[in-house]
Amino acid sequence: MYDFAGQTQKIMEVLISVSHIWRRTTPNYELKPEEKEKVLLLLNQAKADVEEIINNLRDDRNAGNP
Amino acid sequence: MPAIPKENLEQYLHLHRDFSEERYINLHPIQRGGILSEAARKVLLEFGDGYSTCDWCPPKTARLDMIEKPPISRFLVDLATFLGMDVARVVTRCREAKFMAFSALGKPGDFVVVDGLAHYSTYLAAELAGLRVKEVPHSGYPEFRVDLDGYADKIEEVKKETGKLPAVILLTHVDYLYGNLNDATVVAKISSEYEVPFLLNAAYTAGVMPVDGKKWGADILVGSGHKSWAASAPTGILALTKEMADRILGRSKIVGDWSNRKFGAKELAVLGCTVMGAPLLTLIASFPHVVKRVEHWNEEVEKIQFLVKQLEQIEGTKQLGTRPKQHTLTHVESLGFHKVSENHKRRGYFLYDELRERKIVGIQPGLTKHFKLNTYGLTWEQVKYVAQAFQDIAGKYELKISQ
Repeated sequence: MYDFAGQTQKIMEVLISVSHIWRRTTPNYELKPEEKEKVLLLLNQAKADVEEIINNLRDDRNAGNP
Repeated sequence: MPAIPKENLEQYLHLHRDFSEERYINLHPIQRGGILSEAARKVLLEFGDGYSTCDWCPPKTARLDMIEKPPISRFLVDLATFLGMDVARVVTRCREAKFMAFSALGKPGDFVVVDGLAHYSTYLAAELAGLRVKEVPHSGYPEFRVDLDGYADKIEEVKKETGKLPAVILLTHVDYLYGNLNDATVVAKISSEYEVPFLLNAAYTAGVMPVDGKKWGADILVGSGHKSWAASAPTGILALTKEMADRILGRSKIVGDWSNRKFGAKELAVLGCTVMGAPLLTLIASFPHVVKRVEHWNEEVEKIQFLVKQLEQIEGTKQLGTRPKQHTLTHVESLGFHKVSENHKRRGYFLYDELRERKIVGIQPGLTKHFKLNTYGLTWEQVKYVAQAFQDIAGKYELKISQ
């Protein structure tokens, strides 16, 4: 059984990491190059994790349907 | 069952904070040290549910401080070590830690000697414990410096009035009004000479700057998780020497007269268990961050000294309290902004409006003549942005700015 809940939790944690970068750059959000790189890395990770859930949800077996 | 209107219930859903850290620079004097670390925000997701800390509560010693998973018992040992004390407990608030100490060490009618800038909760904790308060005065405007040697005089006064020593003496390490940092060792020496327990209220210091209770001579050290440990409210810290732990953290002795039930494993003063759940876990998750950040305290002091210098370039602006600043909590007197407010249609609210327009909050709305702020944890870029914002506002209203 695919771990939907665990994967969802992982995505939320990744997004919290992103919001922490915004916090340190309030109010102008001027990112240093390394911060920009980190934000992009994290968002791409979140995107991949969301896609993984969607793909598994589309797979009936993983969604728990007989 | 009485019905609650649907629209009432709807207003409790989807709550958002106006001044989130992602949108505003927050200078609120009591909020800077409690801003959660990244790890703490993540742990909130994991342990937000009710008694989530209690999954592995040991059945034979069913007590919060005995839980090993998550590592609460380990954390309390490390917490005590970090503060230079022998024993630590997490309680709901700093004021409760004070109350526990007062009620365990004093009898109704006894005195506690406190500094003249102590927080109101110190007085209430004493009152609830049935104690009377004797205050050590401060020097008044503009420094408001507490006369630390005056503790000896006040102890003598108590002795003369009651024929016995005070139950405890308390020093507020950094006060909430001016952010003055007091030398705990001076008061510790006096407490040791008179053999009166010394309680150091480190609500504004432990967790943001290096603190060493035993080295400084504190018998009891209290702190605030939501004020200075990057933790959610409510979290307070009670840290003790072994001797004080024996006196304050005694076990329950009560026996049910019908059931014969007893609760000998429970610590009486903390009523068994204290902070169960998310706030405690934020305190724990932020601990590695806190251990690291106190090493950078000097830089935090440099930032506030920089900001004070910039603010004092504005006509009529002066930092109150001892100088130079040794803590980030700061009281500003601004006769210039006050002068502007007298002719502004928004009166004293103009400063708040101007700052908010620049995405800065935390200065109490309506105040101009005297206001408090705190820069703890802001980046240099943010501190410079704040300094520039104040100067821009001053320029807009034609206040002089010296260079």
